[in-house]
Amino acid sequence: MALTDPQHLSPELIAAYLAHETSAEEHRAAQQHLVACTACRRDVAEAVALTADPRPRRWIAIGIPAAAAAVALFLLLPGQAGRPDGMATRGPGTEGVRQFSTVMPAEKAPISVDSLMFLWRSEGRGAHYVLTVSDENGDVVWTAETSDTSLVLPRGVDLKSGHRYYWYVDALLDDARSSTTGVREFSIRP
Amino acid sequence: MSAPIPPHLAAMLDASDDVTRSNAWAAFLDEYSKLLLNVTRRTVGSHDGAMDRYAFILDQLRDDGFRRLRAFAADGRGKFTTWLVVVARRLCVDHHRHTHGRLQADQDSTPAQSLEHVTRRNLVDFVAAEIDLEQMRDGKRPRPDAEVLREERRTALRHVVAKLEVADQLLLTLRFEDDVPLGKIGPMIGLHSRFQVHRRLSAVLAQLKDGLEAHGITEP
Repeated sequence: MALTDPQHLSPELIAAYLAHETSAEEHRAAQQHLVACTACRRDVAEAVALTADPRPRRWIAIGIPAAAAAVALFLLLPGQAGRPDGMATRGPGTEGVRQFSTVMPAEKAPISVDSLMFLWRSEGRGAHYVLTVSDENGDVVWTAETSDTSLVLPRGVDLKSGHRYYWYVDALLDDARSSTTGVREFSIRP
Repeated sequence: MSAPIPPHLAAMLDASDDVTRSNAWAAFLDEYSKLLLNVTRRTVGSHDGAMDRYAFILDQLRDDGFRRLRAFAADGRGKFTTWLVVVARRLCVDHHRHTHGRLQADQDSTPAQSLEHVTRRNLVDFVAAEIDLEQMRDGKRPRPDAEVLREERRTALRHVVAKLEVADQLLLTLRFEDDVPLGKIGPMIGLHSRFQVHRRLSAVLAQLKDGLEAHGITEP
């Protein structure tokens, strides 16, 4: 394949395409070509794989020591872990979806906002998770994505003392399978 | 907005004397050799083969007063490293062709109509498996011949896929034909996370099922 082969996307166009610096017309033409051209798709996939930026971390990951502590807590207090029966759901849409367990906060536990930490069991290598926290009205107060199995609440999120909150984690694997913890409840200690 | 041209590249292209140019080339190699070696190692298994290709790439990049590198600078769009990976991969293909003759069709594919036909047929096969096409009911034909029915369903699916937005066709191709993980598809089609890819994929599959329903093919 010559570099300037008119039957393939030029390296300049691929660079522009991946940087979203093409015109709408170029973008559509590039995608149309990619649908039909295996060689250019491989070029694009390799360019993405070899030049990916480190994943931005928009949340506070707790890290290995805290995760180890949480696992120890889970082992010591098995009854406090998230409901293994997987009965909790967040309404229509999650029936029949595979469920996995939470570790903390324990179900319906009153907890200090300063020590609030969300932890769940791993769904295996390559899993990504979305944590959603909502209030009693069902309004989402915080959501975050991570490939870790733990998150702490950022300082900017205001949870009110004495109020109940609900949380769940959805997991997504690279093979497009998904699973959920179902809805869990906690309250903020007055 | 275009990223600025990397300083080592700019220095090399702007150099007015051999010493400056040579120093800039050395700095360029310091910066990008690791990436270039990564590319060559991913295209050939042996260490010697990778080093041969690396040397070939460097020769070609220097050739004709850095003609190829000037092409990036002239266009000025996108990340230089993206451009460099694509150029290096294609030079690896050229090197292979120089040393072993022409490549097999799958490594030298073109978007010619015949290949496009094969690609579309393959994609339809993969998508048919994903949406479990064989298990769907055809309301118009209670007891049809199984082979004829299967082919009619695939023809219907081919039409429905062809009517999708081109971005959605690319999404299906990457996911089902190339088996690219969701996390890597996002940057290739302009979505920001694997969750967005997952949601888009679900929506497209639902759209396909709706399209098949319009052809009288429904889920059991």
